[in-house]
Amino acid sequence: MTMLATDVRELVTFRVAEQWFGVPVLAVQEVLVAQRVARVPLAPAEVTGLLNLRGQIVTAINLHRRMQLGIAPDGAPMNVVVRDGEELFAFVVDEVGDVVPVPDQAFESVPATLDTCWKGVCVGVVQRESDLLAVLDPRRVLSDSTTSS
Amino acid sequence: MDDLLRDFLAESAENLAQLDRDVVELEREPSNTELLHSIFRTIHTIKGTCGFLGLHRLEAISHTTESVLDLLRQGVLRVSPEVVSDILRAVDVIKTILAGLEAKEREPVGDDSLLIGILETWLAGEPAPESQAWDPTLLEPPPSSISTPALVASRSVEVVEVNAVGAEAARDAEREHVETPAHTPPGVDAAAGVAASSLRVSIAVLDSLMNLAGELVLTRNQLLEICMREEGSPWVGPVQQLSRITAELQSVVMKTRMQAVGSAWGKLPRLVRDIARETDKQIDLELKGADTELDRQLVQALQDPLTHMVRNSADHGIEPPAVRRAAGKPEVGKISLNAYHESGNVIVEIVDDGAGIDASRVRTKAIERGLVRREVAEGMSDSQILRYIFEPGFSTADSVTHLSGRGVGMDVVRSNVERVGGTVELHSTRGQGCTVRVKLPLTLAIVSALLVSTGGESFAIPQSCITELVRFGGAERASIADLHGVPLFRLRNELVPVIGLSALLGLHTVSGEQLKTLVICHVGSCRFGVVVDEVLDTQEIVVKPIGRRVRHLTCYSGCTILGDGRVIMILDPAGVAAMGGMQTAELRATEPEARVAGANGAASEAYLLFDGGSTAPQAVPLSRVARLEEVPTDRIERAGGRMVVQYRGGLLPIVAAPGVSLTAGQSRSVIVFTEGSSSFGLAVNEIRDIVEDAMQLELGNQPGVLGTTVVAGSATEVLDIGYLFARSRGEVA
Repeated sequence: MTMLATDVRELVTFRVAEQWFGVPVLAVQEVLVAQRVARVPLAPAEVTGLLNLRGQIVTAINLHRRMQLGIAPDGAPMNVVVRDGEELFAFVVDEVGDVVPVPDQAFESVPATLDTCWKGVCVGVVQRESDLLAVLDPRRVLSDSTTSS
Repeated sequence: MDDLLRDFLAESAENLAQLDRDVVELEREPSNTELLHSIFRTIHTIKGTCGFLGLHRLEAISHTTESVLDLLRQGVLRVSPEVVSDILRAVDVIKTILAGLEAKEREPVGDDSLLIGILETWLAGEPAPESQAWDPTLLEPPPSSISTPALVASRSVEVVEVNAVGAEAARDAEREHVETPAHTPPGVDAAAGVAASSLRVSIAVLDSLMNLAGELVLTRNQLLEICMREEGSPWVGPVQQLSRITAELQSVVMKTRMQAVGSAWGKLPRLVRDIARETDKQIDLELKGADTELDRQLVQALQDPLTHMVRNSADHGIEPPAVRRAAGKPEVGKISLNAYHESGNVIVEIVDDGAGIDASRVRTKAIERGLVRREVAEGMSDSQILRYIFEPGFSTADSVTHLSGRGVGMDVVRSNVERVGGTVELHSTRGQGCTVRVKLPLTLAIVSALLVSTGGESFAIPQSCITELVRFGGAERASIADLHGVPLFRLRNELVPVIGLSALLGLHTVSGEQLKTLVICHVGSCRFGVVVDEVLDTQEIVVKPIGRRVRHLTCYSGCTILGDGRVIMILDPAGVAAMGGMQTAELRATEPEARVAGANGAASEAYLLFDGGSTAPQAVPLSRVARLEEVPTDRIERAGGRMVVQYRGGLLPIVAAPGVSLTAGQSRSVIVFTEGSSSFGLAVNEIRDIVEDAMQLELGNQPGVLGTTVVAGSATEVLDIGYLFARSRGEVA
């Protein structure tokens, strides 16, 4: 939590199924419209495939799968490109919202009753007028999804 | 680190590599004044700079060395093996000090007075006091130097020689000094000229330049495609121009990464000289094609294997002069390195005219080590048997024998070379010598690939692995034979295992009526066919690494971006073969006969017996077992319909033997199998025993069971690990 209290002020928000998520704006490199994605046979289910971002290879992660929010619709999903070290990843999401400033004290801790899959990637919850914003740690989202029982 | 110091170190490192070579060369060509001047200049530069940087220890030793060199240069001293040895020692000290500087940014503490004293005897021509023997223990041994005891031994002999030769040299010098006019050293200006025309650029800059050039090529391809579509477009002219320039730029950028292979063998003359002196042999090292260029990364990858193989040749291959004379060979042994380009590859050959390798001893050893069954080994030709030298663990132990010395680390050589996509072959004729041939691709970054499509997806297969393409289907369907459910293709007289790519990758498979293509691949020495729906094109592709989330998939070696911006995966034929059920050992085995023999000979292996809950005990070949673990059943989790356990920071898929129940609150023995980078665990009730027996395996038809055999009086089922692997991946139920 200390990291959030000092570092995170602005969050990029996006929607997956009915849930809104936020990631620190500094972690996001850019947002892309639907891209042609090359499938990688035998890859883990949450890896949609690879896409070409100006010559760099980006691994696309299907957040519906990753966050266990059902099957992604075939429409025109958006890509939130995040950088982890030298590597680029794209979160495939349904809709990208605004960048919202969040005061430090607005962060609330992750409820202990959250299921393990979510608990593993959420670092905080922010109350908004009409809904709750789940704040994700992109690095944890990118780690192998451990099994949830 | 201080910029000045860093530049000094970088410059000195280059110069010193050259120095070793020059000094050894000088020994052979004592009259080569050009060499002497070059050596003198290098030491002089070091001395000059270290005075400036306040490096006193380095200054002292380089000053004395310079003085000795100066005498040699003036012709006062004669070039002799002894003075060369002392100069080399001084060079070693200089290297040690520089290495210390690099590590700690200050001069390492040490006393060089003895070495300086010895060097000074050359200056004065006066006899060194007997008691003041050279003590090499004062020196840390330089990285590639010969061992210390040898130094002591050789030196104690030399001291005597030094005096005699020294005095004689001094007399000679007096005479010559009058006769020969002093040589004017080639001006420092010339050296400065060379320096000005080249520039030190960091590798990172070159790499990013390389990437950018690759991107430019892709963008150009896209532009070209757009222009092609529009007829009479005014863009055609400029775009073609752009295309040409881009191609040129790419080749120039490629060149910046190229390095002469000679830079990988700069240390070899010194190495061979030292070994020769140490073992009282006479060895002539011949280097051909040192300016053959290949990618920087490959030059680096080549360095250690080369050093190793040359050391082997010098140390174990070349015989002592007396033995050579008796065998009717010239006393001077010869090792030659030859590098050249051949059809898109770089070949480096290491040839020695030594004793060669005794195939019968390799045979005995291979049998002893359990690498091959006696009956099989005895039926193998010498060249087949020699391949066992590359097996890991072949000769790690008892390195005292002549034979094992030859093989030490050859498996490391092979794995280093194979890691960068190369191959190693070894030929040896008893009594006549040994030839090792290393084949490397020119560059790692760009490969020529065949584009294929199967199951609606496109893939690239490196051309280097492909030997031929065979169209089949329809009437020729008959050419596919079936053995115990395994498809084999009759390629002329040989049976080639067939792997269906679509099925392997879990893609949509088209019915068998359609005409398909069989891509015959060659990995190691194993041949197999990969069935694809269609062959699209051949292309030079830029290899891009794939992300860590898919890197564990052994069937891919990377990905690439096509001209239209599409990303496609590059298949790794070795990985595909391994996934297709070929054993890694088979992929390494060199001859088809050996492979067949290995399959028949499987019954003589050691087996791990366990209770799998079945009525009969079960067994798996011990060689396939990576580890045994005890896992509490509570730790076994279910994910995506498969069972996994968190293991060593990752997930290990678990397959339960048919009769094993994973009741909560208990623990189960888990046999861990590993193939390439994938693993799985087989949960069993109890591990029973390890037996080593020549078993008669009766093939069964039950899936997952290879067959049955009799162990200690009871029928035992031998499990099919390939099948279990497939089950662990959820490919079969």
